Amino acid sequence: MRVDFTKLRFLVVDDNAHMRRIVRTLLHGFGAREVYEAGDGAAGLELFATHLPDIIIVDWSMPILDGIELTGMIRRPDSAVNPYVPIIMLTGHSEKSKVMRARDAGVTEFLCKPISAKSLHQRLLNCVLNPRPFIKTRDYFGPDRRRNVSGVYAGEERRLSDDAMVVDTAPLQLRDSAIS
Amino acid sequence: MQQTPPDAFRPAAADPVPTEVFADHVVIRPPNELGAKAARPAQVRDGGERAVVVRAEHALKLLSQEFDVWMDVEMERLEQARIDLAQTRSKPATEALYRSVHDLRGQAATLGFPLVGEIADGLCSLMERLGDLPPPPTVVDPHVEAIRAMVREQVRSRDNPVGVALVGHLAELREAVATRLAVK
Repeated sequence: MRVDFTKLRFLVVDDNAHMRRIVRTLLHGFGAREVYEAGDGAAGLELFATHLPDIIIVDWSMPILDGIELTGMIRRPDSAVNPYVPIIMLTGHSEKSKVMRARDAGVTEFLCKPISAKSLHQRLLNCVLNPRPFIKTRDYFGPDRRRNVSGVYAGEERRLSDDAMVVDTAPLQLRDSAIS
Repeated sequence: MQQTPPDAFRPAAADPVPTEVFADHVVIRPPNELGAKAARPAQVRDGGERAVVVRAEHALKLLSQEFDVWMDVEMERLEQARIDLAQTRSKPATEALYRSVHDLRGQAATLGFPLVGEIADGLCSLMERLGDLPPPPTVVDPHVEAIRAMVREQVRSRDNPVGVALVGHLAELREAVATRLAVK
């Protein structure tokens, strides 16, 4: 399968104009036509609500409202906009603790700077071709953090059981607000 | 037998997204609208995904004609942040310097100066270890001067032995400062 980037609408949120220009250039190079930019988290949140992007690329470090906080504001299960929108966190932080924090905030993909065409392209393909289900718990709402099914998982067990208590089979269509 | 899930995990009544409700979590499977909108079968002569990446790399290469000017702008910003921190030793000045160095850490390699990115990465890491404590001028000044000198002299990569030696010297300096200030 291929991805037709002309069909997708992007929002780039980064306080550094140079980095926004680089990301925009790469997206246009992939074929994207609709790329919107915001210079801070608050403007990004507004553009998210008004322009309904298909994919958001957000920088972690921004003054006032950073990328993690912005992700948290988008990932609200009762949101009337689109809480399932793919979010790619673009950051200079590469430490494992930072990756885990971004993951726990609900980001879809994590992309360390320096950015390359190949790495950004791969993350975008994942968002379009291999979307993960969403998980909602008492303290988390976001893409399934179990990216790979492993028989040797030795980490903390966050879920009590995988036995279904209720299977909701009635609604099979996504409400309009979840479609962007 | 179906059971009623806890209220916290009950899907909203108006929520039509397919869900599976478990004891302590809900699995939600939104239809892949992006795939429906943008995925298409591969064509024999479409060049593959590699061709898409090559096109983007070419676009970035064209943009790179502006990168030296961009680096000059970043150098001015860095120098101003250094001056402000030296004069005020305030939290906003510390944060401004961090943001400037952090941006360099992330984009210097893309702009053609990977060694500058390494120096910025080291200073960033030290500032993260220091927390709210402003880094002393004895460590900030050599880093800023080294970055500015490398940009001025076009010292870009690890091919340059003087540049590599400078990166190593600054790493030793940071460790000495971290030890002296007893930060983890």
